[in-house]
Amino acid sequence: MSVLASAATARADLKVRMPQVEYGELEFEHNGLVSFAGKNSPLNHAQSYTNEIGYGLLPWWQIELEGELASGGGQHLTWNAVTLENIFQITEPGEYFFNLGFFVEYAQSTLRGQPSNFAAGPIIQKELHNVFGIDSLHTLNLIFGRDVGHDASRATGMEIAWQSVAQITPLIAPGFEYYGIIDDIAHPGPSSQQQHLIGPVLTGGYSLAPYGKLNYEVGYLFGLTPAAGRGAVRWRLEYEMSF
Amino acid sequence: MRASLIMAAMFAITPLAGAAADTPSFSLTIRNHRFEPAELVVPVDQKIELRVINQDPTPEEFESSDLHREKVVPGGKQISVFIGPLKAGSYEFFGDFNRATARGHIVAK
Repeated sequence: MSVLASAATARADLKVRMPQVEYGELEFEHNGLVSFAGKNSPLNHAQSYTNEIGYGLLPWWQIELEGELASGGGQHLTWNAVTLENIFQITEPGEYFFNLGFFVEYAQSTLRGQPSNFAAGPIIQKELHNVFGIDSLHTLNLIFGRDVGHDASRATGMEIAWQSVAQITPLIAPGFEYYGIIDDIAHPGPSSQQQHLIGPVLTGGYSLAPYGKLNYEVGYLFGLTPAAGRGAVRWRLEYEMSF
Repeated sequence: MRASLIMAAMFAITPLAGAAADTPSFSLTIRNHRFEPAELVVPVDQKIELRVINQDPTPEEFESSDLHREKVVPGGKQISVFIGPLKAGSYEFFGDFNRATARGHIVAK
């Protein structure tokens, strides 16, 4: 439910997807996001969480099954959607000037009377080596989405997700993220009605070899527009193991 | 219609990736949970392709924190890993499933 997510709900899938597929790797992932806004805003203390299981079926195809829980501020969490995500790796990391992947998702709403959602778009990544002595990784997602099924709107939404991190050590890679959400690209409206957020992020991983690896991301996003609220804290925890 | 055009435009980005032709290739073999050779000399300032051939029946993960690469090599299979251009120096790599024995380094000079 990434694109076209209502401003009244939080957005646990505000995350930057990578274009790489780990063949034969099983992963368990948890994402969380809590938003902050004005006292009467439905975004204030809105929460959303996703729990996912994924597997690298082929060297170029990873599939994930995800359950999404969300609530507006002061409301109970509800199970909103079951999502099937696919990442297709188009290029090998470092093979070309950009690393490319493609993302395709179908989110089946579990709420009565709510539309489901289909989303897809490219993942573009650039590695920069030894700039001022630091290696860095820059990843852009451009995801387009459309409601399908019951009461579906005819709007095509867009989510832009950008992450840049300095790869200082495997355990600690600091950087920043930007997210932009436009509910209808044909009628984007004034920027105040779009959701734009930016902020610092800390990412990293810790090897538990031979028992897999733990990865994390934690960040704070400052709302740049009234529709985005004051800000949001988000996190991602992932355990991955190869078979 | 508009969404379709945007999708097509996104796919059109692919040629911007540029070709990786003429990339020199070097081979690393995994045998008995060890890399052979354990030291691989490569040219500086040039992108290279590492062909990692796993002759063991069990999978191994080629991993290098220095090179920011990790990729599983199934038993009896081979993979390609693209690295560089590298500055002169030594870059460690290891097999994540057999860290005690599967170790080596790439020397760029």
